[in-house]
Amino acid sequence: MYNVFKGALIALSRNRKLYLWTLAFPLVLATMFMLLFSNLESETSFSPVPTAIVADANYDHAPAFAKTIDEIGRAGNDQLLDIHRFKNAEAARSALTSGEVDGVIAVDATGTPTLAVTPAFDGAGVKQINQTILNDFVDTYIHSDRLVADIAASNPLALKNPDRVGQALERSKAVKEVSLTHSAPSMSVRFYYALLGMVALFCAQIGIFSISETQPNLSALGARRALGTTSRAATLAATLAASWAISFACLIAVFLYIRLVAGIDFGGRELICVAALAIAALFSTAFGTLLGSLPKLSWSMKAGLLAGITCTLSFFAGLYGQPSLQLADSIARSHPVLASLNPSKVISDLFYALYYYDSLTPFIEKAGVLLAMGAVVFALSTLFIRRQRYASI
Amino acid sequence: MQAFKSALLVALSYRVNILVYLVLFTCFCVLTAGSTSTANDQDSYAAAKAPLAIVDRDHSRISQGLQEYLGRQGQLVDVADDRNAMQDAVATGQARCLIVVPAGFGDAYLKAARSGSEEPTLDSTFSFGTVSGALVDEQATQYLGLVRAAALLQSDDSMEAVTARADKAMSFSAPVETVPLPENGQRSSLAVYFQWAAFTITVTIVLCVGLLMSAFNRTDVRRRDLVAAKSSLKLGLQKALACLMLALLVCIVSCAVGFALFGASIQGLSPAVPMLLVASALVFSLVPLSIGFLLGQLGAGKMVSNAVGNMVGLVTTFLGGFWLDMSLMGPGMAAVSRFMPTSWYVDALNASASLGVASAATVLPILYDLGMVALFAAAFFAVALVAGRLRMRSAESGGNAAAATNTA
Repeated sequence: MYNVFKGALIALSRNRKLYLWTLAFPLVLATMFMLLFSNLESETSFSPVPTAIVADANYDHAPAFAKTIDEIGRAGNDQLLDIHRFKNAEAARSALTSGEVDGVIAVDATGTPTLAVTPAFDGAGVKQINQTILNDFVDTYIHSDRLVADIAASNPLALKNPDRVGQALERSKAVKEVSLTHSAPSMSVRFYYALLGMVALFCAQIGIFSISETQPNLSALGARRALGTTSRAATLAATLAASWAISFACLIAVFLYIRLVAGIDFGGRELICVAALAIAALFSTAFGTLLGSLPKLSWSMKAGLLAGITCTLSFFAGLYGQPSLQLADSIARSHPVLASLNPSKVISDLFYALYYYDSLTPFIEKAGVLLAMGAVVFALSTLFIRRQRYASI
Repeated sequence: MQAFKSALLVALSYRVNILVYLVLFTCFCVLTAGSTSTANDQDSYAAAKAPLAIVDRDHSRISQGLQEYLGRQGQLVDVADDRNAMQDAVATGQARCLIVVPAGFGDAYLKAARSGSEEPTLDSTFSFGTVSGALVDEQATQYLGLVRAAALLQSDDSMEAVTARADKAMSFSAPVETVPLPENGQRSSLAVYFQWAAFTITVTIVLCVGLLMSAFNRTDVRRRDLVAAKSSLKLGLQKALACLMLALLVCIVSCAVGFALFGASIQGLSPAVPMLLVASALVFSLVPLSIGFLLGQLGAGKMVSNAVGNMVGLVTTFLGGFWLDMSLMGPGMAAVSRFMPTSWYVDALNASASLGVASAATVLPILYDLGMVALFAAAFFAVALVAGRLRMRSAESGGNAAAATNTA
């Protein structure tokens, strides 16, 4: 049995075509992710909103508003606006239409602040959010004004002390940012986790090849091996063990590339990730066994079937960009059972659970689901790989 | 035209593989185009509504008022008061900001505001993309700031009265003027579908051509072709015609599905729009056709063609800004994307989809972009011809170089 294992291992490791989908493709994709996501976190993280201020005569006649602008435009941790001052509205609007600023704040003749923006179609929504921040800031001034007017109408004595009014309208920080997850949420890591899910499914190709070389009805080599002295069970077990070993090795290689070269964080739980990869390799071997043992399908058809199934399941695991990720999340929320039937999503969720949750319970649950799926798939494959009569005289 | 007929028969024998890819990736395009929202309003400002969640452990009038206000400003999402559920909501981006109102917050806040001591704060957790979280934070700060001001100035008012004053003041809003841009940036669902169809077209055509060429590249078939009476040029032209036919078929099927499902999104636009969209897709399909031809000339087998088709499809669509908006990529990557045919294809699509009146001034830039796409196809084709020529002369193919080998 050891010799069968060793022989299968050597044969698989020398078949370079197998590493196209299981190693080359994921490494290319991971490299692409690295280049493309290098700016993602910084582009979607908050930075002071570039704003044009029309510093004309009306603005000079609103010192309280000007003081507020200076305060929130001051450099520091609490800076809200990145102020660009212009002498007139035309210059400010020119900066707006050229994209230099996201909004123009001016003061009208009545002393009321106004806001001008352009239609925001930046896709990511950052510009629209910046415009909303500006709108909320301008509204704050109006809200304070209305509140004071309302109090003045019902209780004018409450406003007799201007220092008290100033103190009341002072801006104070009412919200404190805390971390809830084990690691800081990041959009880009989820793509890498979905990539690992895809790689695990593509590793089923190794199982397909292994079983094709073992089954008497699938290849001449399989027929010769069936005549050998080693029992069918031992041959299959040794061959599938070799297949698992190669799949695991490919997954580890991709994982190490993602971790060390791309620098993706796995929540400091790398050893548990290795266990997750071992479970994923087990599933991919079982899946490859099922696909590979299907009779009356040629090798290329099985490979095509695997590619099609993998791409579909990876789409619903969120690999294909933001729209795909949002779709995967909405399915997981509305139909969690359906999401649990997608092995690519389950594998991706293994790493997601390690990264975000404090407890290991969600990870153990997902690992259990994946092991159960692997057991079911392998049980199905035994219908085709059990001893059968292929020809009779 | 025997070679042409044989090529089509080869393609027919792989119809299951081709159909699986075509149907599968077309479904991806449909799902993506259907789920991607296009701009709500072309002409006026619309406030961003960030998805947010509030876990209210206080249930005071202030916390309720805050929840109502933030619910109007954003999209309130229900999240259970459970650590796993909260982590999930933040980690998946279901809520871009999650605020926890601790028990006793309302009373403590009011008391601190009136006594001048430091007010208690709410805990907020941001999801990825902290700019959305910053927006919600700012809105919560404004509401509580107004409540604080009302409490300080009206020190005898109850919590309900203070909150009512704050709510009344917040019902006013400054008008926002929208300054129109010279160019319209909106995209219709059909344009989004055609954009993603580039992936379908690339992968399927490279697969088709790769399968076809690999059949003719079999050593025994190739040797028989070389000694056949028909010249290599004529044989090559017949194979190229078959590949072109397959490419056109894939492109037309893809376009037809797009128009059937999303054609309504360009209603009311110029009649030139659908023609330009189809023309863009047809010109773009020449790029994977020439890549498939290049792979064939290099002697790539079915597996390699399949893998390369997928890789090329993914890389070009990624760098074309399909998966992530171009604004999220750094300037370096944006510059690299201009070396991808998909980038020019998307420019042509966007310009076509937002075409107002078809005139020389509006159509010529689109034709320029399509010309760039065609140049990419021509470049790959030229490389393929050179590669094929070199391969034909190599020692392995038994060409002229083999004659130079010393034999005993």
